[in-house]
Amino acid sequence: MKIIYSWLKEFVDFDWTAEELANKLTMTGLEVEGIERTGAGFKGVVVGKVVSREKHPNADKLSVCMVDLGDGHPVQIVCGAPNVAAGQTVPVATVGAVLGGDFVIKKAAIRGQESNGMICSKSELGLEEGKSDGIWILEDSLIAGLDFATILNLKEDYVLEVAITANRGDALSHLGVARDVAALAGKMVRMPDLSIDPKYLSQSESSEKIKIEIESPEACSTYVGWYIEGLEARQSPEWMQTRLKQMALRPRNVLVDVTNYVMMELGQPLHAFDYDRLKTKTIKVKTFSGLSFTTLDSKSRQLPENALMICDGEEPVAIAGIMGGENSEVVDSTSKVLLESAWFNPSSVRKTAKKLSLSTDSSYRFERGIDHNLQTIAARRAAKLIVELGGGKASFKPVEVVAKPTPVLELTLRFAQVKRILGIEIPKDSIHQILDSLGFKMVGENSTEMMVKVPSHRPDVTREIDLIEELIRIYGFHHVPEAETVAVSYTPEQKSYYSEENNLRHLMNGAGFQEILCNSMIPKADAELVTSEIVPILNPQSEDMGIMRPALAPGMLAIAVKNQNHGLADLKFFELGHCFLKKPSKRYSKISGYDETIHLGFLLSGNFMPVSWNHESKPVSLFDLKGYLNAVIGAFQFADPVTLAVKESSYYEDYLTLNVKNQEIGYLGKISKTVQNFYGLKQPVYIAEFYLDEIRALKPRVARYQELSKFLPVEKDMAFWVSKTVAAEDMLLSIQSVKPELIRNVIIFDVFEAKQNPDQEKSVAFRMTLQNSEKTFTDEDIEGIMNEVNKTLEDKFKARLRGA
Amino acid sequence: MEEQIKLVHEAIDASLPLSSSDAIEAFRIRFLGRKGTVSALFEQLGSVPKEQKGQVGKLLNELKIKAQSAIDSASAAENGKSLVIPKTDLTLPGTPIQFGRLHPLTVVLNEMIEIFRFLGFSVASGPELEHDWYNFEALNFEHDHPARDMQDTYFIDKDLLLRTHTSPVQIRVMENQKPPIRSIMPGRVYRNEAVSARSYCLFHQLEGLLIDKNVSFVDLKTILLAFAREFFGPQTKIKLRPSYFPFTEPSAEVDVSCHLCHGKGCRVCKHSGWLEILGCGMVDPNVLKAAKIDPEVYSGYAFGMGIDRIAMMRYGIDDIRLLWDNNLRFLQQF
Ligand SMILES: [Zn+2]
Repeated sequence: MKIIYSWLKEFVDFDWTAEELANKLTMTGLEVEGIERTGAGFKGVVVGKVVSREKHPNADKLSVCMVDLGDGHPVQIVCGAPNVAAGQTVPVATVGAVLGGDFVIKKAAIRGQESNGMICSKSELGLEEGKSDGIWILEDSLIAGLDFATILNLKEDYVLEVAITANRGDALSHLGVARDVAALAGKMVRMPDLSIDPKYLSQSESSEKIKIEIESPEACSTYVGWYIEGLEARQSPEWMQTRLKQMALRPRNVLVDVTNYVMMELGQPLHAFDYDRLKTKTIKVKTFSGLSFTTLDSKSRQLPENALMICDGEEPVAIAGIMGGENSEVVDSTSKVLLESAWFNPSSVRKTAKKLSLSTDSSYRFERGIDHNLQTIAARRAAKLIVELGGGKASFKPVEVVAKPTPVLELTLRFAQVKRILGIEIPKDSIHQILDSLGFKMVGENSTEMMVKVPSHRPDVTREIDLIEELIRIYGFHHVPEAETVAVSYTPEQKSYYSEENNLRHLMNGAGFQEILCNSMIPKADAELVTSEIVPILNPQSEDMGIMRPALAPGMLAIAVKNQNHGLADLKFFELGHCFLKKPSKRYSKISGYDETIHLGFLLSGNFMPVSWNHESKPVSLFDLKGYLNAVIGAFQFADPVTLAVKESSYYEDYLTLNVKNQEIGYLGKISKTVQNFYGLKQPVYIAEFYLDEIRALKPRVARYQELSKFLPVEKDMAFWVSKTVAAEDMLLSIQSVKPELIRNVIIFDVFEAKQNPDQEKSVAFRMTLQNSEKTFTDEDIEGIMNEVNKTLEDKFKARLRGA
Repeated sequence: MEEQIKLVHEAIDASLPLSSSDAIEAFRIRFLGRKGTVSALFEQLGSVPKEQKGQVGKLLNELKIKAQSAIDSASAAENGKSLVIPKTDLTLPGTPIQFGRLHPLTVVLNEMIEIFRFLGFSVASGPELEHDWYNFEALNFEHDHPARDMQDTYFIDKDLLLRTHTSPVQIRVMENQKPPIRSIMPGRVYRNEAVSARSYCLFHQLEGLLIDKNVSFVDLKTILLAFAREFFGPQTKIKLRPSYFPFTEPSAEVDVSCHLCHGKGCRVCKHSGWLEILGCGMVDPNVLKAAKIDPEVYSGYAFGMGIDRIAMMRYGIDDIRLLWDNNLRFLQQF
């Protein structure tokens, strides 16, 4: 909302500069986002009379003029405008004048002829956009030598850009902002002049010309109509045009300009109908459904259900509170109007405006709540200005229909409650002064509380807490001190995953993974590669952000490509974030029909280590990722073991799921060629994801101290030929289960294919760490264990001990 | 003294010849080093009787010259030999082991969380897919009220949306827990706003909620100042401006004095000396009622801030999209 400094002063007295005003308004909750200095864009321009005009001797398109500047000594000015002629009254920028802020007029010789100034066009004075056709020819009645800025009433002024919060519909006018200023300054607001000179009034009442029927009193409680006749199509005066331009409104004619002016002045949207274009003279306010209607911007609009319309008899002529119709719009030939000033229900206007995707200055104000006692006042103010500025006569009385009176709200303000919420006491005389100047009427008071009547311009104030806010808003938050101590009631820390998640992040950092954060909204094609259970957004910003990510993989791959294209090929990063599936989730999701879970994802690609003089640079493999995975699993400390299952996946070509007691807790894999090509990745990429919600549901391992053996461990190696169909992990687990109390650890230290039949057989070599907590092993003990291992693998896997 | 000098002469003679650079260095340290024998004798010169000083000084100088010339001649001989090949060139770089780093938003968020945990708040979280009730209605956003325009919303279906703020977690916390409540709610939120250098369609918030008996605006201001000083520095000042949020009343915007120019005005604070970082207020009675807490018994405050903007201010990042591009060269700067 733009607020003009000089206009505001018409409503309330204050002696602050524009900057001081801006600060004060900001500190009451009307945040001033900017101040624009306006006024004449020129200095030193006076009225001149062209005494004579001659052709320039050396230039066809130039004229040499003698111009009287009021002192009786005409000066010579060279002018390039084709429309300059002797006898004209014109604006002249004299020597020393400044145009456009910094263009100084100097005495000059133009093609050999002396020139003492410049005869100006509107655009040269900054009063018209683009290039004017010629110089500005003024009324002959203007006296030479007068300061032109004064004549145009272009005094220095300021336009404040005020951000009005959604609750402050009352501040969408100069009068409204003036009320806050009044409260700050300890003054009262002045209402504008509403008296209409009897010479502009006709003898008839509006009711003789128009009938008004309200069929939806909930949606329209009050409708005031004023009949005005004998109008001429005139431009509004410069002062009004200037203000409207400052408000960023385009001046059109007196009628339209006055309705806009009064809306900006008092906050009441108004509409003018061309009386002669109304088909019957009965205005009906009623709802319609499924109608097509052409608004005055010549657009045909399909109206939603139950749209409130203004009708002339049965035909709609305006969408109530939003925009008038083309069929009844005022035009230049309009001589009779019906001026509408009404109260429309905020949510009714909002529903219709939303569905039409149409927001106007009018609907904006109605949506935020209009003073329900303002209709007649605003109509009278507008009627006065229309007849005074546009000629014609207004009926001496409007038609006023109040279909549903709005009750006056009384609120109780408990002083103890002020203290309880704000922590401070506000002196009672300050309370009185603040509420009084904001328009609240005191109706009763005792030592503990007071009763106030809420003024009709503050429909947002409906509760005691709203009054308290009004008080502190004006009294100022700087009165609220900070306490010396922070008092804490003990509350047991609620279960939170913050620390746990952060530990994981640090773990990943320590393993060399960089944290990334990806957009959770991804393209449909990317999401559908992962799953068909996608969660689409109804109103996405773009197709590229149409689906909630079902997994972290798509986002991580997109980031991998970006980095690859920036020449970063060795990638090692992780993300922790929410993923979404359209499927019911019994355990975790708070939203039925959708599964929202937290994943930890990590990605490996390129070389395992940067190139270095002392290390081979080798490409990462799935087993590097698996190694990190195992390390993280170790850190999780589950009570039960994690098993891996080789599975099929279209997204991954090598794919394993991680499971604890048949519950899948994550996966790892190498992305398939299809996915690699889809993203345009040049090298293989390995990805793993953990489902943290599943992991949180698992039983944690409780650490128990076990006595350390006093006897030295013994390492023994055994290698076996075995069919390639046998899983190494199964062999490993089998060895461990032979004598779990003695075989403390088993690792695989060598794997290779048999030379004779590489497709059939492989060699797997194990290193066992044997340790007995009771005694030192004898050779027989060790031999016994190894025999048993050999026999077990032979029985289970038809494995043959190598070298045996 | 003269006796001591004589002994050192003998010690020098016994050490010669010096046949390796290590030996030269050891010799230098032993005799001419800061704590070497010759240097120690020079220090004793002060306590020598005045009449002997000239003589002893002269002897000491001779001793020093002898030691130095032994070093010089041995060094010259050493340099004449072929270069000694070190066993290992210790100047070679170490194995390139790299730690990962946290995303700058996580860094800032963690720092804030730690401050509030220190101030007694526990961390709560909630879903990003949220019902209209939690995101708007229970937070006193009426249907068909322009307050709903404050946050452009992405919808999943008629009733389900992407949360536009972390405030719905306030309601979820109040549903699950009786007062006193002291919680902070960090998380990701979504707004359907055009992507530009200044705004992105998702960002992170951290909100706080405290509900107890006898909680007033004084307590709110106290906690905010404590946070501002912990986060921005001990000299930080705060300034509250009235504002509007449907779920708090009275509501305020909080400005903190600019940590870069300390209030003098700079580019980051747009020459105002203040940074707008936080919104806050007393929990609206309607919100308490929606969570079945009696507003006549309990009161509370809530506050919230945008992490991304604060991270941008802190690190001088001028384009918010950089935070989402995840260029590793960018991320490794934090
Ligand atoms: Zn600054």
